[in-house]
Amino acid sequence: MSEAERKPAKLSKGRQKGLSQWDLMFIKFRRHRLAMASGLFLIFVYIVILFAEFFSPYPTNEKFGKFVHSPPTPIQFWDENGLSRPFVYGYKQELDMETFQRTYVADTEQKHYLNFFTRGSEYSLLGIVTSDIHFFGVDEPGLIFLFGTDRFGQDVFSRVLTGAQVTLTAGMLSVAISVVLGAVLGTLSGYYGGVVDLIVQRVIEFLSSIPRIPLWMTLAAVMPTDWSSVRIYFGIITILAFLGWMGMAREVRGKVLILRSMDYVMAAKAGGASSAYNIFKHMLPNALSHIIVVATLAVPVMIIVETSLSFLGFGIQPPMTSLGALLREAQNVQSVVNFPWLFSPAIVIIVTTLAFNFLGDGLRDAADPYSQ
Amino acid sequence: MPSETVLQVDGLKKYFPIRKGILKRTVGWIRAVDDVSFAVTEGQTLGLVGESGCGKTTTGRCIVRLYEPTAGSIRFRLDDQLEDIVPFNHAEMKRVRQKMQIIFQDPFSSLDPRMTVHDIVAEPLRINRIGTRAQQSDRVAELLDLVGLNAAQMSRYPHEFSGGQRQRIGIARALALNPEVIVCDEPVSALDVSVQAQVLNLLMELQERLKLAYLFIAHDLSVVEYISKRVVVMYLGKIVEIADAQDLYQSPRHPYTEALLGAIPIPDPLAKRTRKPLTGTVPSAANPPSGCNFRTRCSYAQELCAREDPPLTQVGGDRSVACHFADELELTGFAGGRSSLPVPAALPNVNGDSAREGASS
Amino acid sequence: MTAASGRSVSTTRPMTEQRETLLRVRDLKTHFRTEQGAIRAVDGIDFDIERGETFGIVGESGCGKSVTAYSIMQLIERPKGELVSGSIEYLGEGGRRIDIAALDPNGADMRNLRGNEIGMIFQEPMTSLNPIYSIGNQIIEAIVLHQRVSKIEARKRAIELLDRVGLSDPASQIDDYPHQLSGGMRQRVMIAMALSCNPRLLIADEPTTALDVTVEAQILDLMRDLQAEFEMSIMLITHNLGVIAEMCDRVMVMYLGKVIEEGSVTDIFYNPRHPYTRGLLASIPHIGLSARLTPIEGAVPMMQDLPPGCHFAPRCPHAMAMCEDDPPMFYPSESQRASCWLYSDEATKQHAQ
Repeated sequence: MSEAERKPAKLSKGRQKGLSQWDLMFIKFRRHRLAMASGLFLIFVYIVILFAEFFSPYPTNEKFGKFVHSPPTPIQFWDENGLSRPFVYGYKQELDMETFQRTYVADTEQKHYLNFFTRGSEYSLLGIVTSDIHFFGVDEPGLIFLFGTDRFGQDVFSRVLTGAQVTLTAGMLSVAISVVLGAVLGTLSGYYGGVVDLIVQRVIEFLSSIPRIPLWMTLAAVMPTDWSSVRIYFGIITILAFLGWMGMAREVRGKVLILRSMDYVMAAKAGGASSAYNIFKHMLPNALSHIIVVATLAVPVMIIVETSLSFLGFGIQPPMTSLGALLREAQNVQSVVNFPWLFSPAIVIIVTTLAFNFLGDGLRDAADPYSQ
Repeated sequence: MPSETVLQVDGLKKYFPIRKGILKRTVGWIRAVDDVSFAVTEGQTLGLVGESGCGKTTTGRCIVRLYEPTAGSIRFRLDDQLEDIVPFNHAEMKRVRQKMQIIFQDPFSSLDPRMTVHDIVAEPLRINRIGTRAQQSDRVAELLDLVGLNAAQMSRYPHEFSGGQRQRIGIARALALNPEVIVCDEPVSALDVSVQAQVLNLLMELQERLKLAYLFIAHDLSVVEYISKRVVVMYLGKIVEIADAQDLYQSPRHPYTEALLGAIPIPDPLAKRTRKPLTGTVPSAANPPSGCNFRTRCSYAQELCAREDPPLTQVGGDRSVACHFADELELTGFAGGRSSLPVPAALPNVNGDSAREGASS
Repeated sequence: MTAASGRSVSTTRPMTEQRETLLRVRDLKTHFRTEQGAIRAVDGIDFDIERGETFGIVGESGCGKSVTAYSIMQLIERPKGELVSGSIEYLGEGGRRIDIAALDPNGADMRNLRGNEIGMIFQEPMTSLNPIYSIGNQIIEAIVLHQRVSKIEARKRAIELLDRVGLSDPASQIDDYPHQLSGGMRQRVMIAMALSCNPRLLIADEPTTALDVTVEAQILDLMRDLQAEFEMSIMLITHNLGVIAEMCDRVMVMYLGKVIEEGSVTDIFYNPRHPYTRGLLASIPHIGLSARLTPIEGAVPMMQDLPPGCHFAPRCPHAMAMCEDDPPMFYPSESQRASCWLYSDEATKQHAQ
């Protein structure tokens, strides 16, 4: 190449920035509509549950004794004069004399308008901010039960929000811990091989061979009963993580085994690079996209496991609640038939786990940005 | 002339353990490289040919110490003295690594997809803490220029380059530390025919300019003949023949060399072919035959060959052969050799309305 | 279509002798949809394969040579890829002409054609054999599928075939699994399988690329012997000019989905017409010649981003203004055609002056 050709090239140095692999992955991910939508939906869900106390109209444990097993309150947009600002009717309770069941009838005389940023009971957000402003509510003395009430007259919507807060964060945190554990052990095992690999692999095989649910139950059962619910919450997370890292470690090890023999790792070695350099500079960054995919797909599994444990009564204990604990309310046929709104926690679980799976799917496609 | 030798390999062995069972006990050994000795001369190319599994790649990787040799010495010229680098530790190896680099076969797996071309080429400088960031960038620009790439593209990523360009990036990286020896591990076999020639010519130009010595590992005999001064032929972990390229191709002294040469498809439809097809398959390196490794497929094999392993012995001048009957056999060389290429009819010359000068790369 | 193609000469080659054309491909186009846009992998190619000849297709990666083979076998993966237009006329048993392009890829006619009339072998014999069945099982299955014979009969025939392709102990090796065989042996098994129903056309897609040079020589020898024995035509796809020179009667050179040149094997090697063919020949080292190679400049462009007109023009040392139009086929000699403006009347007239 001649001098003349080189000069202008040098001037434009830095301007010809190429697309990095992350850029390509993002471009590819954006094309995956369902995954994009799921991702946005999950962000929305996590924001809502993070501020569950703000978004729920009533405290989790407030019992409205007069309104046991009330069905969801319909929000009205029409009154006798046509279109109106949203409101709810008051309730009249009637006892069906033939079946001796309580039924709730809307009292069209009473209209309670729906308001946003209303004042209500006091709560503390994440233990930092204290406030009494709620996202929505209705004029006193009206009541709004978006998902109905349970057998104590507690607002199911508020309970689902706080339950989801526990379940969904527990899923996320336990995956985060198992990712760290799995990545460290998987990398060590894959990179160094030999005795380290042998030990890690046998431990994984041993742990994986123990039947899951009984083990979880045992571990959950040995937690002292006098623990506070917050400690139990973190205890559950630890148990989930402790038994969830094996899959992660296997995935990372497999990836590291492939990356270890990549020629660019060899080239760095031939240039005098240390093992630490290779692990942190080449292997972990290249394994990262893969780790993210596996982690995303692990979250729904953890959510289901926490739900199952709590459903069986071994998980979160009152006064704390979780989606699994809430589902205990809907254990029998009678409640299924008569109070179907008690199933709303299940719907939340199904929708979020599906969203996580769609997101993971999209991420997996994006993680290999060069394929067509 | 030993003073010109930059790399002297003696009795190099690399055995890979075969592990079995839950405790991964070693139950046997694959003799990938089994007692290999040769020398690389300053500023020259030593070709290393053989079929897959003959141990040529392992040999190359042992020399740059990507694999730990099982036995043998690798003496490398440091301060005008040949020093055995096998016992060197990581810190001492750094000195050697600056003078001996490697180029890989696959232009796709040899560059980290997450790094820019600048970071890839500057990596050896960074690892060895040579120069400031600005100096490193200048050096990268200089190197890219040297291998025929546009320095303005240094902040791009590997996926934006073609196979040939990626191989050039790999060459630039290998040149970053001003090496004296480069181990080229099948550097052109993954490339398209038209691009192969570009990279081969680049390697030869760089050799002339930078006085580089190459250990050129390849399975393509015509490529090796084109680039090498001397050629080593390997079979099942052992050297069967070493000779100057011309002698080796014209008058092979080992039956395996003869068979290899006879098998080359000749790009000339009118060439006469004298092929003695080789029968059978390469035995397993975990369980090589007794005596001569090649005897199971050799048409000249005799009873002696099963009993005794023929040592690599000098046969006249500067060539060595590992065959009991090297002096007795009358072997045929490459049949399709040409003294000149056919000259095709001149193309209609219509440069009168030529819109372009040459082609852009 | 540019104005240039309007001037294009009729696609049928001048016939010098009466030959029996086994396969006649006309204006074949196979396109693929990708995220980066449509890829015209095969973009309007014509060629004939005569009975009993070995027809070579040579080209670099991405030139469309494998897609051509897959199109003939109707093995293009849908809906990603599609046979957009063209005809593939196959001369069936008893002089029946079948247009393969019009057949349903999954229909009975096509399945009958594949294997029975046209056999195919692939580059990677490991991935084309099913690892969970013994090789015998797979050959027997292929025989039973196409011929009305009993399993015992089929097994006998399979052993004969394995013996014919050079397995040392076919009677026992028939029960081996693919992983127990070496690469060369697996390719032999693939050939046996492709030959199991006496096909009249064998498509070999880079059959020796994954093999060592000594094994390659064995496989090429075997293919040549079998061709004479089975009286079949071979369509040999490879990037290796040495293999082409050894095996082929006629050669077609492809570049980026188009036919660039076609001629007899001596035409191509001794009097190449197209600058690309010349560039390819000048790029390969010849043993015994110490002259420096003169490679083609630049790299093969991306399929999504093809230069207009002649795709080779940006790399061509003879490129001229005309090359911005699609070059039609020219016939510089009776046995040769080249798609290059250098052979247009205008260019040759200018040359004469």
